[in-house]
Amino acid sequence: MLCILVPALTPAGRGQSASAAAGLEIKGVFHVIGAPELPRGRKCDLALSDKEAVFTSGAKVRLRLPFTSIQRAIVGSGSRDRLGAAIGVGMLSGIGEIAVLTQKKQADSVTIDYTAPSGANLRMVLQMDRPFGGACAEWLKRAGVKVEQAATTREPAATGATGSAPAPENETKP
Amino acid sequence: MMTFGALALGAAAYPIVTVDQFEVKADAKAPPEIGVKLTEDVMKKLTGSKKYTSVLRSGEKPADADAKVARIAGTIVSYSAGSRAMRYAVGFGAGKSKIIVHVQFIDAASGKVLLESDIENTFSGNFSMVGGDSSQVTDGLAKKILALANKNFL
Repeated sequence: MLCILVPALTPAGRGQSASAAAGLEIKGVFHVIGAPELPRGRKCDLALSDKEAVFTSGAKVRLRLPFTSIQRAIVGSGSRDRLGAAIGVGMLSGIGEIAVLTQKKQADSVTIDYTAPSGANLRMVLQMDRPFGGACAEWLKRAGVKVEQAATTREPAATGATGSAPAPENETKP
Repeated sequence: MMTFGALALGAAAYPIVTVDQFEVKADAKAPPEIGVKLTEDVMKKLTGSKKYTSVLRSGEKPADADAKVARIAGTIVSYSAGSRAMRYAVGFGAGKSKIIVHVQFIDAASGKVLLESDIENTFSGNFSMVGGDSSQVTDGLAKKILALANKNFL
């Protein structure tokens, strides 16, 4: 379990409600794709305050995303290949990687539609260990962001089926 | 590849292309990252072709306000991730991933649909590491979208 839920209460906020002065920090958030500032397919840390989401990698702040720039967030479930484990097992056993490849890492998926400073409409997809997707969604909702549940969510089968699809607004978005 | 309502665009060239975020139809059973990856791949292919003066994301404004702008929008209507283990262990098309996308080319000024088409692509994992990730199916699809754009807009 790489994610750590840390209610970062400041001295002033100690004892107050979480929405008033607390922050939410989720470590090991997997950036699947979407934000140009974040490396694709890598883990980063996500800190949520009452005004913005801050993505850091190491000591470096990669992206500050004000909640006002977020149009919506879609919460569902996702999965990804255990490629590193498969390669490791394969090196040790010779054929064991096939068994590992049939398994998927299950995670909560959070898709965020937002507007970049350039005006571009972007969509980023994040995965985080369960149940931190729900915690993240709850935080965003309290901050005034429109949060939706993924339209269809299914448990991936061992054969490689994957996660969820966002709720469609229209068949083709104008 | 099925094409509907193809129009003879004549000499009308669209030097600027805007790419909308590809949506995922609810019953397509595709994870959201597939739509995002397809959008990124189409942007990359269009930019890499160096045939368009500007390739923009949805929401970005072209520098030349009078230039003709074509918008590319699409919906993933069907997706099958296949099986990476099968692609790796068996090969020869076993466990291939498959995607079908309904794509539209739209005149940004008038909103008129210039061309729409259902495009399909499969990914068998050939020459990929450990069978290749299922999302790589979007790469070949983006090439097909680029070919369609080049054929009709240049």
